[in-house]
Amino acid sequence: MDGISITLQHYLFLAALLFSLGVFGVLVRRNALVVFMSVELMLNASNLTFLAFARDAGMDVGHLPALFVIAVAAAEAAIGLAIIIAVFRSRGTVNVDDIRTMRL
Amino acid sequence: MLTLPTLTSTDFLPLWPALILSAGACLVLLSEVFLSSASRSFQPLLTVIATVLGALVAAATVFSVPTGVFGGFVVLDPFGSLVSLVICIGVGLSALLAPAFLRGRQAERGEFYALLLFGGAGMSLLVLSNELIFLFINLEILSIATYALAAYLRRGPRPAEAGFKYFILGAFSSAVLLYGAALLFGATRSTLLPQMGAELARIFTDPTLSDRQPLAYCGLALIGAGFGFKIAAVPFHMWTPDVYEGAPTPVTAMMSAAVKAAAFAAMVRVFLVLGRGIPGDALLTGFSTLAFLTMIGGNLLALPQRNVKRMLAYSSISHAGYLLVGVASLFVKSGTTKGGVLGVTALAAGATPDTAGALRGILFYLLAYTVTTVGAFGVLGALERRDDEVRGFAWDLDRLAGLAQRKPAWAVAMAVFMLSLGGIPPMAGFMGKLLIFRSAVDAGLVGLVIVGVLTSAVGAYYYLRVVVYMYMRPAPEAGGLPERNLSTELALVLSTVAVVVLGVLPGITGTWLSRGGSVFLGR
Amino acid sequence: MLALVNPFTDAFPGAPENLANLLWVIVALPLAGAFLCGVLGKFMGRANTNFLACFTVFASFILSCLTLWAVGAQSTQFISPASGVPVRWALWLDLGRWFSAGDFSAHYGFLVDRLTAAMLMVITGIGFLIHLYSTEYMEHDDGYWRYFAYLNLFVAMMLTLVMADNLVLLFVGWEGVGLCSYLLIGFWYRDTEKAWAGRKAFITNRIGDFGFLIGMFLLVLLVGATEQMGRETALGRSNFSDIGRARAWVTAVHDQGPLNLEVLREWALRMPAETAKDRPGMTLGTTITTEGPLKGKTFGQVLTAALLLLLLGAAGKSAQIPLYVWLPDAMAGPTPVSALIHAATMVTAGVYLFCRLSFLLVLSPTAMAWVAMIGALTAIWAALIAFAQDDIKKVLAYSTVSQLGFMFMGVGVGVFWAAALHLVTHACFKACLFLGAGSVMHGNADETDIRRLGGLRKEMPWTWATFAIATLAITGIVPLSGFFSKDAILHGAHTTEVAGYPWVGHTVYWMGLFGALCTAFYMTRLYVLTFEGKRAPDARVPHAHESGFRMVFVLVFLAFLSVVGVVWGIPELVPGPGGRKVALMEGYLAPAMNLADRLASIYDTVTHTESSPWLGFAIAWAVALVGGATAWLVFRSWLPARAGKPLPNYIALFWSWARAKFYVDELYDLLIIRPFTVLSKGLYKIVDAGLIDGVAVGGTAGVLRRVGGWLRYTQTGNAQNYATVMAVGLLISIGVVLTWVLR
Repeated sequence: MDGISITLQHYLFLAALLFSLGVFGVLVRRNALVVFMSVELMLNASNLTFLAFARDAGMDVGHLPALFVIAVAAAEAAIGLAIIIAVFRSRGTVNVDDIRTMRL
Repeated sequence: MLTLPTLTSTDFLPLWPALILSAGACLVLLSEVFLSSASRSFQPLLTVIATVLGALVAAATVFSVPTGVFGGFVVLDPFGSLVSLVICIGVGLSALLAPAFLRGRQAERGEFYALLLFGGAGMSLLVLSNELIFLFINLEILSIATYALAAYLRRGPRPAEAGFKYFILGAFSSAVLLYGAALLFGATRSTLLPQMGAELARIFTDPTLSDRQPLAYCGLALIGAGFGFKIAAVPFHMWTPDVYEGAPTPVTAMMSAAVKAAAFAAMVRVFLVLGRGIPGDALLTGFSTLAFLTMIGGNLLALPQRNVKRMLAYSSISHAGYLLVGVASLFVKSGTTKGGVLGVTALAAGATPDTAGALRGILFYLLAYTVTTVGAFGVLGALERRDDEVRGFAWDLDRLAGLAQRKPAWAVAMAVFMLSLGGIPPMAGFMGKLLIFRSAVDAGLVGLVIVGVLTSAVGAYYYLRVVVYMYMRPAPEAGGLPERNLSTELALVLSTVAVVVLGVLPGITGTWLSRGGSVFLGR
Repeated sequence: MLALVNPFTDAFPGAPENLANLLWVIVALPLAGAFLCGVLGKFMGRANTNFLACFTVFASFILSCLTLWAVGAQSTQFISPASGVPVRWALWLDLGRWFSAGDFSAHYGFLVDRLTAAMLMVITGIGFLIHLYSTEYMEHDDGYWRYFAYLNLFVAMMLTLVMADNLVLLFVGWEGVGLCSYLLIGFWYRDTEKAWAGRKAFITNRIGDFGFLIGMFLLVLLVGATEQMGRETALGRSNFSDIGRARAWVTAVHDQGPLNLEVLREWALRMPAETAKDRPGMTLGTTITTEGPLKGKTFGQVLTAALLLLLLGAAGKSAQIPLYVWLPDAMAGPTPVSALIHAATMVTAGVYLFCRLSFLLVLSPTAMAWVAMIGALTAIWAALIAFAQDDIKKVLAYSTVSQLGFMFMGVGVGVFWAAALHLVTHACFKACLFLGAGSVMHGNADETDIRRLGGLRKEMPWTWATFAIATLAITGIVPLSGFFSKDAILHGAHTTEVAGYPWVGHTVYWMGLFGALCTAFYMTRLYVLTFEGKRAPDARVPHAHESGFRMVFVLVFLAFLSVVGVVWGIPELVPGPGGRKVALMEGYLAPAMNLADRLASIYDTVTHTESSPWLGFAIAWAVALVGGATAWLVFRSWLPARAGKPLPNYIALFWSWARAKFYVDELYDLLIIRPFTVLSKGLYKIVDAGLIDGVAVGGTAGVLRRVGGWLRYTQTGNAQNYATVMAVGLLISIGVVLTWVLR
């Protein structure tokens, strides 16, 4: 068979890559919104991992976590955006570097 | 084929506390819609009633036989019931602190109490979860409620900043935990904890499955990190001081008391069930390293703090460290000879570590810490002045100077809480430390215990500094008296009495807590 | 008081059991007093608070007298939970389980035997007198309600300490008195130096308490290992061949807990010393084979380690080398506090602890040698420092440290009764001295510098008389109580041989003798400079005034006790154990010290040679006289002569020079006073201020705070930095797992 066959490992690798990208985004991006989106990326990496394993094992039930996680992520987005708006209102910026009144 | 499950009343038994708390939350929310009157004093009352009812129901299930219900998703066991009880106590006491605090800031709205109760329901469910996704959802329920509560006040930049930091880092750690769950799912092909535990045991014994070992270890490490964030263990602790400082004080009390108890209990359950099949000292090494770092880090960071609220935040980190000593002693296996940061002395072959005793110690510590910390934050919250709060001066040690003259009863209460946190007899904190250290010594973790005793000697310094300021510094001239409030003082009296009684007569919890050792480990 | 004089009465009216059931009241009364004074004191007003505080302690005192009476009677007994056999001359009250953790448990239990009864008299008796004195002393202070609350709490805690039937409860009292001491030292907190003194006391004590805690842990493990080996090894089983009594012990270990005193006594009975080779079964030389932290060590090693750790704890509380430094600073508190806590009661807790555990101590000659040498060194060391102090309370503080050293010497050479006797007599005369000093301060506008006092003899006759009596008592002049108690210790040291350390007894004796010489010298100096001669020109007030009735009454009463206390120490007065004639105190404490004496003689760990004490007493008396007389001459004659005849009177100066006394004076100054001053000042500066304050107390705290300060900068406030730390922590742990665990 020529060409590349897509196996479980590939999905997992992609998920790990997404996860790492998400972590990287959380650590280095300065805009709070982008940071938040990076967290979503991490959640989706987990979803992908769940789905890949579920397909690999032929378990239909394994797909359910992804659905729940999407729902949870939506709730998280709602509260997260509200908080970011509150931050913006109180100081006019959403740059993570500037949100550091409390320290030491 | 999937069949419809037959649910009996037993299936609902463990859920009752959460159901009651949720119902209370819905009632509070509804009242907000229908009654727009200025009088909202019934809302905290309703909240407290809900928590009391929840506590009573939880208490009623303490003597149940451990079983799995709802197809194994939820457990009914004394350990879970007792932690639910502690959570209800923590949430109820925090709710008592809220009315005066919110009234002073013109922020009395029903959402606050509803969020508090929803959070409580999430916590109660979290400790009963026996399935990873269910556990994740409950963790998110409680987290989302707490994120909102942390940012609840719209005064100055601090609450929003606290909410933001808590949210970003919390979401990050949840994602980490979820990814860990996914990896573990891959390794074990299940999300039910008991099945996963059994499968893990197979992975570590069956050579043909050994390629899944890295997956399993990574998953466990990621889940551990996720819990490490919630319980504020070093190095996952850094959000704690900032969030605790910025959040409204009753919320801080709830976070450090109830949330911490719930996360600890869930962590203990997950690792107890999963850890059975893991050979060697991996878990022991992990937990004792965490305990070591957390005890030292928390105490050292608290030393130079003049901001009492931040100091209490660091103190909550150090207490997580002491609790982790207890957790580490759960994972000492018979016949092991090494491991842990400071070594484990050999246990006799065939002698099994006293897991029940260690769990009892952890439960007592959680209870003692809950009542103590709620009280301590309660005193702080009552002393805050709004004009200073925005700039963050409200919690300087000077604010407590001469409290003994201005408010002798409050000073006594605060001194009791400080002594308890410092682990000085005859307060509850001392008894908790004693129980935990005792079970750790029994398990052979002598090195960790020595670190624990030494660091709590360090801790006595900064706790007693508060006492010194209250009793041995003159009061500032312009220090107006804080307002009295019935519910705040009720909370303070209740927690003071609890701290002293638990310290002097820990035996009264005896028959209850001795049930705490029975954890449902799955079929 | 009748009971005090004749404790051998066999008739106690009423059933002792009824009294035993009331033991908790002794503690509860002052505790309730503390609560009421603290919470309601401000509203009750001064007079009511005074009355309440004094009343609770006095009521405790009455009950204590009753218990003293009861334990004097042979019919008073209880069934020991650890052996099932009756224990005579003692009362026991078990209030039930306090807590249990695993196989460890502790009870609320009170045990009063004759040792405790003697302590009860000191605590409640002198405690009451000092409360009474305080009502006048604190009459101008607005914090009176706080003061009496603390003082009552202190009494309650001290009573808990001495009445506890297990070491855990004892530790509660131990920490409690530490806390009260801390609160009272820093009572006048507006003065930062005083507040710091309180903290120094607390930190130093925490170091000791750490030793105490670890020592207790070791004892728990030791008892546990004994029980396990008794069950599991053939060797161990022969220690427990008496089935019924052994079962009682094992039950008690689990029910009452391993730190119950009766359990420990029974343990000491069952574990023969290494020297008892003919005994079958385990001895202290047996290696522990059960799994656990103690595996591979012998029982004796662990016991010695535990006792040495307890010694660290006792050194902290009783101000012994190297932890004595807090006590002189503790004088910052109100003077009655110094008298009660830092002279009469709390600081003797270490001595009490070792008397209480005498049966363990005699099993470990090494520990005994350490205790004795620490005591002897402290006795001399503190006495030398006292030479150069000019603050009246500081002199008394160092004197207390030195006298506590004497008590440790007594404990270390195995004459426990003498240590306990010295504890009691010292409590009387040192309380009298401190309260006298307080009276002096009260009448001289709080002047404490003895160079600026002087000539108070006529102005404060009552204070003078009582202070003089107490000075004679501590110096060790014959018809006063200090003589026989101190010299009983010295005599004991002289005639005792600790197994394996034959040099200890004699070394301690000579050091003690030297210490007694120093004591006589500095106490006489203190007395002379304060009361004799002329009033210093730079005194704060031109005329001192005598204190009021309540203070004077207390002084007189304590002076009276310092005199009549001598009854307890007169040697060869009453028939004692073994047909010997013994001192009253030795006979009285015999039931409490019975086990220790028996073990010591069976295993030959401590050997007392019988000899007449009278020659030794004569020597000691001569030494005290020489020391006192020297000081008198130096400070009454020599120095005033020099100062009073300054330059204008050339003839007088020449006269004195011509009589060659001037040279001697200079020589004396050059050879003795100056080196002494330099030496003792140097000791004070280098060791006290530099090494211990700077390095040990300040250093540790400083280093930790600095590290904490650095760590603080990791808390940048930036959420991303926090996430980075989390991620790095996670990466490290995964890396460790993947490379290390999985390999």
